[in-house]
Amino acid sequence: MKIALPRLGNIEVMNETIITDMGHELIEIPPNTKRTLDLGVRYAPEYCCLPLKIVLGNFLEALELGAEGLIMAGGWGPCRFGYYAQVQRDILLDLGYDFKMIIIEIPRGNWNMLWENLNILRNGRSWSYFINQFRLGWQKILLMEKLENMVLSVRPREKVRGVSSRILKESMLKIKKAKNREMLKQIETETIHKFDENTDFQKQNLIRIALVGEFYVSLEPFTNHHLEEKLGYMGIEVVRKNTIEAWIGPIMRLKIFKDSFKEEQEIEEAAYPYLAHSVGGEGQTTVGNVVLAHKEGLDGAIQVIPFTCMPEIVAETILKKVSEDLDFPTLTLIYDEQTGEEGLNTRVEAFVDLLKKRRKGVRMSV
Amino acid sequence: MRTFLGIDVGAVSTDLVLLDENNDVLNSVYLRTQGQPIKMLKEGLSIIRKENQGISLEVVGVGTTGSGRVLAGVIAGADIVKNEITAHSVAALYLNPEVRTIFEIGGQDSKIIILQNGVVVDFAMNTICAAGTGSFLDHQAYRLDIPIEEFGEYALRSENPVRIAGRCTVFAESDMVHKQQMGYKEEDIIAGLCEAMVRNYLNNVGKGKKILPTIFFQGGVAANSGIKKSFEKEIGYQVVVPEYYQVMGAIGAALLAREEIELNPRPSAFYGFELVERNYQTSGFECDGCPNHCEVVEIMVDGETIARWGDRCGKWSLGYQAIR
Repeated sequence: MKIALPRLGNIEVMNETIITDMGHELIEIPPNTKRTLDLGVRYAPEYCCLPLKIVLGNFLEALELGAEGLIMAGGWGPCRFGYYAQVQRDILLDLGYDFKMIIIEIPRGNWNMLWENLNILRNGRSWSYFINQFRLGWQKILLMEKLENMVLSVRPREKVRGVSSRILKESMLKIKKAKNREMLKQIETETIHKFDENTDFQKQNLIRIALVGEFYVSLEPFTNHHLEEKLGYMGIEVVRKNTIEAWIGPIMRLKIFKDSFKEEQEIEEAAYPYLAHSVGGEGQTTVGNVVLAHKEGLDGAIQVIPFTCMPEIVAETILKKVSEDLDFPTLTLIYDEQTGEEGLNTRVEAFVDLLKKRRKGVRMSV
Repeated sequence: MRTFLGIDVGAVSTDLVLLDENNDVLNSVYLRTQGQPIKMLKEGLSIIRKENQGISLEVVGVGTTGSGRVLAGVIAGADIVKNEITAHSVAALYLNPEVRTIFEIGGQDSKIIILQNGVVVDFAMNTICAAGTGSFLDHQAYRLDIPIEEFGEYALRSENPVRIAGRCTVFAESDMVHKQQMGYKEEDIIAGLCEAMVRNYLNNVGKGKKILPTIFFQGGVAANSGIKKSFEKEIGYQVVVPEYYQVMGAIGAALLAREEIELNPRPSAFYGFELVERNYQTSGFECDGCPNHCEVVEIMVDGETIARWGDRCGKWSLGYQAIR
């Protein structure tokens, strides 16, 4: 089967391991562009959020390239995301495409669908091979994420502007091709060495900003207008609070004991005084992460929201109180279809100015 | 004479000020941008040049701000390019260090800035809609056939403002049309509109923020005394409209340029007033080097490229003046 996986940052590193290695033909979805957005916006319901639209655009581009199977994550809970795979499937079916939507989600009761979908992916290979490759794919994601997190502190210190993004890109391509864990280990060592060579370690005490908010927008650079890079080049160290590791990790580690949800619990506890229960999506996580960012001594936090995202709107309102109580600046950025960046730049620059002035603690005088 | 030039290129207006060494305003120019920022910038500079004929001016520093700040910075040769939130707060703090709140309402956007001990501690800008900004007022003035300059006076004459829906300009407009057709007095409708706009601003832009005096009201809309009065009625504090309310962003940019030059002494990057005779062209193209498809903008002077930006990788912009 010709299979495609939607884009989310560098998640493509696992494409070959979980698709090609199972004997499927991999359809590489082109990177997110204005065309992806245009396609998604044209066929998605107007009131849906940006992540649904962009992923739908991904799928349309994949189907143009001949994809027969589309992998999509599912879920359940008050956030609409849990139903996106189904909505996207129906939209695409209405458009006359013939394909199989392979939804991967932890079922509630009906385990047949998961079983069936895993079997499609497994494609007759042995379970042990399948699980092994799946784990290798997961290792690739973890390594990629580790390197991405390192870049966040390398970029504001880099000796030649833009080099760390280039190193990351090269390593991403190598990770994608890697066949085993030893190769991954080697790539890791090499990349870290390159990062170190490009880092000016004299630069200390940079302004540090936590990036919190909705999962997809915070991790998808096209969608958030390359916010991490933008901040990095302004000399800011970004601290990512949403990670794929934290999202899927507890499930992937196959631990059902409470212990595997330790990070999650810590975030929930931090959020507790302000928001005592889940409001769907990452709403409670966002609040908790801001409290933790303050505890960790960061300078401020930026919350990113796709327009019409209910859980994040709830969090945004609560963040005002958190910010006031803790004397901790936060900035909320709402993303929709707009591609003009001037408004975004203005807000981000002004926020950075604000944080710098706070550090100095002096009057803005002339 | 040593002077500092501040340029604020906004969506609706292009403002320039020239400050002398005591930070006093020598010249201030307020022009409509009309979608032609380069033309208006040149026009503004030639007005300043004309007003200072016979005086030898030395421009020691140039700062640009506003949504067109990057473009203006390249054209004029700026020493500092700053966002308008910082520029507006610097200008207000210079006039009164005790400022705690700034309402800034311009043509396309509105902001609120909260300060504490002379430092910006919080700000917000209108996000999704332009309700309650200058453009909407302009449109209503045109529809009612009242010069925008007299809008405020009309509002002040009203004794019984009618209620106009304020959440959305579409609702506001249909409410206004309806009340006109019912025969309400024009000034009552205009006063009602001012109140609706203030409610909208406080709910959407100022939501959840502590508004404390001293309060400055700046930006083009501050010319409207009806809005100022509605603000005072709604929040219960006096609202101060500074003398140069229209060009506060440009004043801030000039002050920032001065600070920059004094901190890092160097000759200004300013191209001089002669630049108004130069011929600027802009062009753009979509780079197809990679899937990002960046929209690259190119600025040319008399056929020679002086700046490029818009690309993520630096393929086109490298070698030209760093923009940000």
